[in-house]
Amino acid sequence: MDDTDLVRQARGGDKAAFGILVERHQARIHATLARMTGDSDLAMDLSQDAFVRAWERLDRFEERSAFSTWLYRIAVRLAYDSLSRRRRTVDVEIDASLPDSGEPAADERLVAEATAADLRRRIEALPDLQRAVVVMRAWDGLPYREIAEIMDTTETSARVSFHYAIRRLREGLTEATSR
Amino acid sequence: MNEQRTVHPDEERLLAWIDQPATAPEGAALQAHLADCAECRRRAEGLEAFLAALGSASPAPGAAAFAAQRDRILAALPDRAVDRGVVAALLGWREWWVPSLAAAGLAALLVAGPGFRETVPNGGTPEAALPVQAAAQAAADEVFELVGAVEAVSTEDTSPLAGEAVAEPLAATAMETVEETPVFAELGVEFAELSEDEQAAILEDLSNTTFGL
Repeated sequence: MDDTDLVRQARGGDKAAFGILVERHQARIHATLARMTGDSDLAMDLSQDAFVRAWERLDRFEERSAFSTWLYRIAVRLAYDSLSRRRRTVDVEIDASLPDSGEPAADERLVAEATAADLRRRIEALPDLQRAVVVMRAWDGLPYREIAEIMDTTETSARVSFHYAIRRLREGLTEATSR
Repeated sequence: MNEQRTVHPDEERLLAWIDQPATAPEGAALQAHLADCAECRRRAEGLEAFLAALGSASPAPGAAAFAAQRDRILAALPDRAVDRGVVAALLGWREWWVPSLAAAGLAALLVAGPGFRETVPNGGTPEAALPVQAAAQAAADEVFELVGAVEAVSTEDTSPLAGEAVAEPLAATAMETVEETPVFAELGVEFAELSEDEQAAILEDLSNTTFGL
């Protein structure tokens, strides 16, 4: 049974059908939110909220896009709003952990020496919009048009955010590996 | 002597090309440059490797964690008060039948117009056509009212009350309107009975209308 059939059953109150949708999409949603938040446990909580919200809004889903796309938008928006709220209440020293940009080292060496944990830490330190755009573009392969729509911004802004974030990440890693 | 200087792409351009080669500015020229310039090719490969490393930097929970999450989600779902299948069907078909309803209403108005009054079937006089015009106007009003109600259900009111009390009779009436064109039935004529000119006039009007009710 495809997603469309399951969604129609779920609209009628069939929780078992919705459970199948959860099983199909929870890993991808979690992965996206974990990259955005840098916290796997928080991503589990947020993705749970996203599924419950999707259930509550199933009647508004007009089937103009795939269910997975619609759900992804709800989840990303939820995570972004959560991050923004957290930023407002907690004073996070982002730049203190990042070195100034230095001369680029050989990329091969850079990649070899960059640990996944270090990269994750640096992604977490990116401003919220840049981090969200990097996740959507670099991992999930969304076009800038769709990213802009989800983030309520322009395609140009999404593109610039992505380029700026990549440059910032590379510069930070270059400095770290050349010490 | 003119000496041609080689301009190497900056990182921004390289990244745009790696990210979206089909839409990158001057993509073809950049690709040609990379074919000739080993240094830029090395830089591009480094950027690609970096993006690949970026993609591998994410842990994933195990199957047990996801199964537990699924159970938590299902336990947290509120029950649905009513079966909103009808509303869902309305939303799904809205793009198709709202314009169809609008077309039916416009056809009724057209038939009720002065052009039709003067050429009413069976050689009737303008006076004899007045009841026909009134009936057509009433039919048009009904269809437009229906379209407005449907628009309200589709775009705003998806409450349980709307689902039960409004959506179901609307859906039934809408389908009847579209399939049986009651406007013409009420007038006692069929579209096929109208003259070619009348048919053409109706079709032209409908085709020129964007249904922006």
